[in-house]
Amino acid sequence: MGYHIDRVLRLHLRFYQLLGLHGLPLPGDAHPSRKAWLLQFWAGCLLTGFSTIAFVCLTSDDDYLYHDDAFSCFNDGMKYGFAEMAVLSIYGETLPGQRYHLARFWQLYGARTPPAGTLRQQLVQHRRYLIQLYGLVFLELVLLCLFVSVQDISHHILLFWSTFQPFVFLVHLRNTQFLLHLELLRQQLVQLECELGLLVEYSSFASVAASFAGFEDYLRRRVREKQLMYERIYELCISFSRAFSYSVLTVLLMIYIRITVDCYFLYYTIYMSIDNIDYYMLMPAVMQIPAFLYASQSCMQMVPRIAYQLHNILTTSSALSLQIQNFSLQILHEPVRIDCLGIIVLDNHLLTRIACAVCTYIIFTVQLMPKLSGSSI
Amino acid sequence: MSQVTPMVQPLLLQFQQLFFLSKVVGVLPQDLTKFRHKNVLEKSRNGMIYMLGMLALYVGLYNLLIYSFSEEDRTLKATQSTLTFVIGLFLTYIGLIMMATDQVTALFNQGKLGELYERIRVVDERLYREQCLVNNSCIAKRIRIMLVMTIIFELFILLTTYIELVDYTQWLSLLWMVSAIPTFINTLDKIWFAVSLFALKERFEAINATLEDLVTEHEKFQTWLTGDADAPEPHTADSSETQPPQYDSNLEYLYKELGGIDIGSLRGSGGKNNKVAPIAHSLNSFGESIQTPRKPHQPNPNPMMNMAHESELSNATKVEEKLNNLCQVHDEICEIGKAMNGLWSYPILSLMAYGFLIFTAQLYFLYCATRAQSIPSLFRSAKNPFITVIVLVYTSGKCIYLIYLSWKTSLASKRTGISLHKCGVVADDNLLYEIVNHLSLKLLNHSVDFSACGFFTLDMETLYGVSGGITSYLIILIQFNLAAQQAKDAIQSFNSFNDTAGLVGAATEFGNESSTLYDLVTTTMMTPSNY
Repeated sequence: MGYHIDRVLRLHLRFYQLLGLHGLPLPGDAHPSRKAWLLQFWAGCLLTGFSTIAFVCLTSDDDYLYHDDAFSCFNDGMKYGFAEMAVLSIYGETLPGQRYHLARFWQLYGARTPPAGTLRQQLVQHRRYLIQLYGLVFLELVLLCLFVSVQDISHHILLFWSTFQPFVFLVHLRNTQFLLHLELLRQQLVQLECELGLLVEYSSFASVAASFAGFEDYLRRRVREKQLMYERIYELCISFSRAFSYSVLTVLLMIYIRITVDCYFLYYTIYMSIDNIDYYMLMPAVMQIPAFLYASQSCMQMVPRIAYQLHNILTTSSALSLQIQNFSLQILHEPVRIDCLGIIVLDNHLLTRIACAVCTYIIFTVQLMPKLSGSSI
Repeated sequence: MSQVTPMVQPLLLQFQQLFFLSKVVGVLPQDLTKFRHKNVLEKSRNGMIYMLGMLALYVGLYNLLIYSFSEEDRTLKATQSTLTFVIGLFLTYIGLIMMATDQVTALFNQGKLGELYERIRVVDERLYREQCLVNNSCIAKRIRIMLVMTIIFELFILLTTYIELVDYTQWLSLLWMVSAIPTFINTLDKIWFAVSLFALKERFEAINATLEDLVTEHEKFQTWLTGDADAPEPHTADSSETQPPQYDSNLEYLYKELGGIDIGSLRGSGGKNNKVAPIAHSLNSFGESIQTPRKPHQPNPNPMMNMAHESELSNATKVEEKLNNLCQVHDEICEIGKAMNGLWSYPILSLMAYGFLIFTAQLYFLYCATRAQSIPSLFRSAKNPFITVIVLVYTSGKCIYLIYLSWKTSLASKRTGISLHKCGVVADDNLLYEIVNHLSLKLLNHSVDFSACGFFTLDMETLYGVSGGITSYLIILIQFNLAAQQAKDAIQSFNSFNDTAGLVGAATEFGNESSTLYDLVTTTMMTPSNY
């Protein structure tokens, strides 16, 4: 545990530890190995609890699922099924094998970043993440309060929401955990780009005004330092995708399935004129996927910027140009690419695909609706 | 070369059991005795005849199976919607087609397959000369696990279906056993592909590990060079970067050996003055000659004992040869990968088509079975949800494992470039940069990607498309099924109502009014909307 993290990060990591999402002891904890064991035990307890809820809901005859017609019941069951899958993968990743990659991430991050000075600086540094986290949580809580106060709660609604909402909270907070890691990655990339920009300015200044002996060599060494830095950032990215390989997939899948199913229910409740406004609870889920995809895209977009800055450096000696060539080739070999298990690149293009897919399935299910309800009546 | 040849075990040595099994059931035609004695795959005319005979036998038996179970399908055609019947008919022969593709391809490729493994052996020898050993022992274990899994899955599906869903009082029902043959043969053939692919992946990883070892060794060497145990990162110190390190290293090694003088103090006083090239080179060759090939995935044989670290990366001319050789071997493995992909391209295409169609069909038939509709007799396993799940896991597991392995192999081949760059950056030598840039471009241009006949690449992105396709088609099929059922119900109730309406009309003798009533009722019944 030879790394330092600032206070804001520390606070939030503690919060994730409480939820069993961050299975590592923080630096400076007394008894790290005992703490790790305790965290794992806690994660196991939470997993058992969630799994029991899902099992009871799926098998019980009570009104947990919407029982009026078979297709709606199947849809509700699917929501629970995918939520359970997400929970399984989330807590599965706190096991020691997977935890290693997360530890590597924090080690790499903590080893090379000097902690920001005051609390205010820290808040400014992490503002993107903080705004997203508190915005999303606030929205979710406000909607929940509104829902409870406006809606007259029937037996089914009470049972369904009291069991399903914990899953939703957990999965959404996991998503904000991804946001945190991606934001740290982005900060590193932005910093690298800035430093390269400085080198560009030096080199152009030296070429027109004053140069000194050994300047080229100095520049070359600086470029090499940046190369090492980029290599570390790439490893950061790799350890992020290894640490969260399955849960990125299942969390996105669960939110996606929920959106699709709830869009169906939105139409269904209006069509059958049922007194239920719980489809408003969909809003936070709709915000989660773009937030994540935007964060990952903003990481991936930095790489071409870095390459651009790199080639802006003015060269006069062959040694420097060789070094720049080497860095450029290295960037080609090590693209920062965030994809869940190689299945799909997580950028805004995926967002359009998801939107298209949701629309298509809505049309399918809406077509299906009269036939299904007609047969059940 | 002659002294290293016996050191490298041929890869085929691990394939003994698999080859024997494949030979018996007729997956491969090659000569058994030559394989036993020399571990080579050679063409065999007898094997070819035997295999063709087996193929004919399987086709005959399978047709007999279809014929003997087709009695039930006649009733299906009469009672059920035509959609289910047509899907069943369309998919009747797909398993057989898949099996025939495998076997015919194996017949055509019987010469080339042997050459492929010969090329892998040559690669192993070259890797051995570069002191990176590949451990083949886990391959035999892998084959065994895969075989056991296959047999468990096949037997489970076969027996549960036979006991639960086949009327086993008739002796003809024993023919049901034939239904497992196509998938079993297909799986055996795919195990060959999967394990060979895995072997290629291991070779890529061995190359990567060798390169990474060079890096870690050099890093250790540099920390040792700066003589500062506290500094974990040797690159930050500017003073150590400006001087060529190879001379100092060997000299310090010499001092260390001779007098045990403190290195730090020596460096503090000496620094750049110690450039005595001839001694350095003689020492270096001495250091090399006692070095033995390392075991794979062990960075340094005894890092604690060997206090004076050696780094090959500090000698650019020598390491150039090594890097060149490694990259050539990498190219050769890529070429082997492409050749292997070519050999199995049609079988993989047919497997993927089979996987997609059967997955969709099985789920659709499961839906039909839950709605108490009858389904084609060959797909009777869909009547039981549990067996269906096992069938789906088996089929999709086969497809996904191949895709996953191809993707991983492709990633491992790309990883070599990354390791190469690490070497370059860590060594920080102009000559080495030139070499690394050259080789890195070469690696960029020469990557291996697996595809099924060029129709789609075998990587994880394909899964996204396929899963989307399966869901869409399933929903469409279920919609058609629902529509057909509702039309049928409407016609039935219309017919029954027709009779009653006729009776009512005749009894009350209000011809005109009954006909309007009749119109009203038919229109309401024929539009299956909800109220």
